[in-house]
Amino acid sequence: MNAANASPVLFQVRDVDFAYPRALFRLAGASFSLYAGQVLGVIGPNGSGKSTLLKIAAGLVPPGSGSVTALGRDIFAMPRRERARILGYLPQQAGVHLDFLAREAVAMGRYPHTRGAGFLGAKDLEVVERSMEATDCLNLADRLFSSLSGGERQRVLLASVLAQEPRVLLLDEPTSAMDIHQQVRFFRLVRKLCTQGLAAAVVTHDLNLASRFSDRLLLMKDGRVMEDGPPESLITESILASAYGSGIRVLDGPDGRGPLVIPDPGPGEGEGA
Amino acid sequence: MKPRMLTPARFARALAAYGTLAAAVVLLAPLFGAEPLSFRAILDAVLGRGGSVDAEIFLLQRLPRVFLAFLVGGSLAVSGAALQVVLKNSLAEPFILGIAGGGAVGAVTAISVPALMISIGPFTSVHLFTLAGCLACMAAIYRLASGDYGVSMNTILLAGVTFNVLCGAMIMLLRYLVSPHLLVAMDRWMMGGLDVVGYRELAGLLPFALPGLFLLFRHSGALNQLAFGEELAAGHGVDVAVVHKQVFLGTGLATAAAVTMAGPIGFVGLVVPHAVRRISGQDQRLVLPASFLLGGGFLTLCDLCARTVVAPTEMPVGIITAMIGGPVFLRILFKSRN
Amino acid sequence: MFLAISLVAALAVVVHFANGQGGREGDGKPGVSAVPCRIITMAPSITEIAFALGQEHRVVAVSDFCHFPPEAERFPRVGGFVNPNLERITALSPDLVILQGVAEKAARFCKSRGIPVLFVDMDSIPSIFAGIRSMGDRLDCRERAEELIRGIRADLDDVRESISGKRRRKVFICIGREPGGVASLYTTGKNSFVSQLVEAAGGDNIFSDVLIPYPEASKESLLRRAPEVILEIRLGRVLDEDERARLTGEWQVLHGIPAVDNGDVHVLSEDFLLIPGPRVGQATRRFAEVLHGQGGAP
Repeated sequence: MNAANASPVLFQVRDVDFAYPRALFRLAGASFSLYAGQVLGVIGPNGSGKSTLLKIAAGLVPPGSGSVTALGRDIFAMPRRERARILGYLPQQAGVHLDFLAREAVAMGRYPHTRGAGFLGAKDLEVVERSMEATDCLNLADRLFSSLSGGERQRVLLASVLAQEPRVLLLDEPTSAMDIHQQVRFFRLVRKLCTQGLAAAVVTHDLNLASRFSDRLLLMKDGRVMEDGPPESLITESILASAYGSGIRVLDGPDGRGPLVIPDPGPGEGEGA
Repeated sequence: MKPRMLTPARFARALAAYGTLAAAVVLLAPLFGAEPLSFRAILDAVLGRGGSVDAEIFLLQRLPRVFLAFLVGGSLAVSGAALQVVLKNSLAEPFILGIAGGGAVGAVTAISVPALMISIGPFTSVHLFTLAGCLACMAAIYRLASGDYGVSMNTILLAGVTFNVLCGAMIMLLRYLVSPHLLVAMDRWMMGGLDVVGYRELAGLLPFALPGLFLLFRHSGALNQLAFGEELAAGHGVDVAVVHKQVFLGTGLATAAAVTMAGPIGFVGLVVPHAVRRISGQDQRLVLPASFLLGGGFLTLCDLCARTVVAPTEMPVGIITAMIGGPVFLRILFKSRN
Repeated sequence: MFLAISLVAALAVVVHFANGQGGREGDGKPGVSAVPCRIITMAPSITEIAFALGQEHRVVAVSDFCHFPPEAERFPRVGGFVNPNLERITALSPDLVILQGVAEKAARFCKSRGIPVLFVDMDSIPSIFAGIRSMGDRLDCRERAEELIRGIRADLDDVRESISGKRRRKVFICIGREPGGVASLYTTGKNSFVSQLVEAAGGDNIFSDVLIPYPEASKESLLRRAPEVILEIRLGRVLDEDERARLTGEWQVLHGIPAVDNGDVHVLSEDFLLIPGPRVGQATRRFAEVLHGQGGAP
């Protein structure tokens, strides 16, 4: 797990500053790197700048200063479609107001690979099917996207990101609406994709998922990167308390694969008994 | 109907069907009118064997009117289809942008102040002021909505609605101030009409309508992406800011052209795209061109009614679009519910 | 001052309410004893008739659009067809309001205040005569009304005589169009008094087969029916020569129509041409001049 320096760097965010106009929040000097074969979990309290950082990383918003490079090239100097063939970004929210089928939604991911009218060839359709198979949503293919549940939608949208055939995944709370089984399946899938040479950054609020499925964690607070390191060194009661505040307890995992985070009910009925 | 993925074959089949329908309407519409015509006389005139009133009516009244109806109907329908996607609002239609409001203020100003009577090329002062009003409103809304991250579609929607209200107030003020003899002309303009003589107006308008339509068709694939939100679309490689800008400009130009020539003809821009989506699915690459063909055919048909049903007089075409379009739309809605 | 006026107005309302309950004059039915002496004439045609009947001493106010005879300019104004000034009507405490056509707002208001109303609906020569008669009845001057009608008849007969033996001409009457072009052409059907005056002046209205009084004409039918004369009536203001030339020039796109090809397009701007009142004889004479080339515009 600690082969970070041995793997090639696919993606780098360096000293990124950013401020929204007329707002207090600002991102200051944020940096992280993604290595082939590794998952980076991005954690931190609400409003710490995780989503903003990911948006900048995905090229949606240009930073005030700093640089973002993918495969050694500045992503803001790349044509959009070319960038989308390298970076797969899954936003936190993706509504739909037209009645597209789930399969059509996945097919949207082929956009950067098509020209002109954008009709899909045999190879494109094969990639679409494969992506759906990977995220376990083939059975949803012919249903209307708007009729799917939150978790089903997230799987379909991940498939559409995979259909881009990206080298780097930037996923913003991809499992927030999933049941625990689907969450596990999802993170296993991300891990599996990484073993095939991809790199991934996953924003999540679930510290256990982050801790057990990530090679490294990025802990953010108040627009800054507070910690960047392996889960076992980062998931400690003192670090989490300084990032989130009190009420968090950390146990050693029973299977030796990362620490466990549990909520602390605080002094009350349960405590003394 | 169960929607399916759009393949080139299905795209071609669907467009061929819409195209056949539109072609049939455009070919048949000139055969009917307020006056029966001798087609031998028309043929003689075309072949240079002497003119006649029949040829005059057919070549300089009916044909340009059919073409104009088709172009206006098509432009309004395509603009409506694109706006419904970028504004994420299925009730959006071309006039929501406030552009028509600006055009109406222009038209009413030209009608109220006879001293403004000028004409440049094929355009009368009403045309010129309508066009100027549309373009001024469009520029103002565009400026208001441009921010740090491209144009905000929400601001466009709000600004458009506000501009419509403002323009409405200005029109009422002008109506209050002018001689009552002019009110008839103002009211008539508001009802929309496709009354032309010859092809010069039509030709003068193409420089606005065609680039507008081109911008919209160009981005039909990107509009599909926008249906899933700006962020996912951006992630898939769509330049959202550029698409928003160009779609706004495209709808603005196409709508300005339509309003200038025909006044505010309602309903086409709202109903036709919905009808197309119900019939042919959601893929905007098909919805946009199909809306053009269906919208053009629909308005041509409505205008055919407007100029024949009460011959030798005429009705404002806006009345017909609403009277035919309303029930047809309701039927489509009910059929797809069941 | 204001207080006094409102007090008077309020009193007037109360009094009229009290009176109005019994009488059914609000429906325009005759049979009320007293001759009204505070009348408001709500249309140019009505004002002209009231003056022509010599009843101007009974008039207390006229509509915004009444400019004839010149003495009418001195009277207080109480708004128009669409926007009657209801406060001022109340303050003037009229004992009769004469309305033309469906003046719904004023009618409803008068009814609610118990102000007697007389409706006249003048849009044809017979209905103009009927209107004059009913005003004569109501204002107790039947003899003068008959005299006025005889006068108008004589005017019309004069015109008919002056054109006798002259060829009737096919006329397109245009009473409105989109400024600057020949779109949305409004004309007159056979039931409108304008059409009847033109017929009396020796013209055949090419849209006399249409029943709607003021329809929008089909240009196809206009071309097919090939009028020899186009009469464009454009009210509102006096036109200078340049404007007149520009307006007639705008018809040139419809070449092929005899009127256009022969330069027989005439733009008329005299306001009495469209007022269905005592001056219809004068209007007919003007139409005859234009149609038969006696001093009409080129």
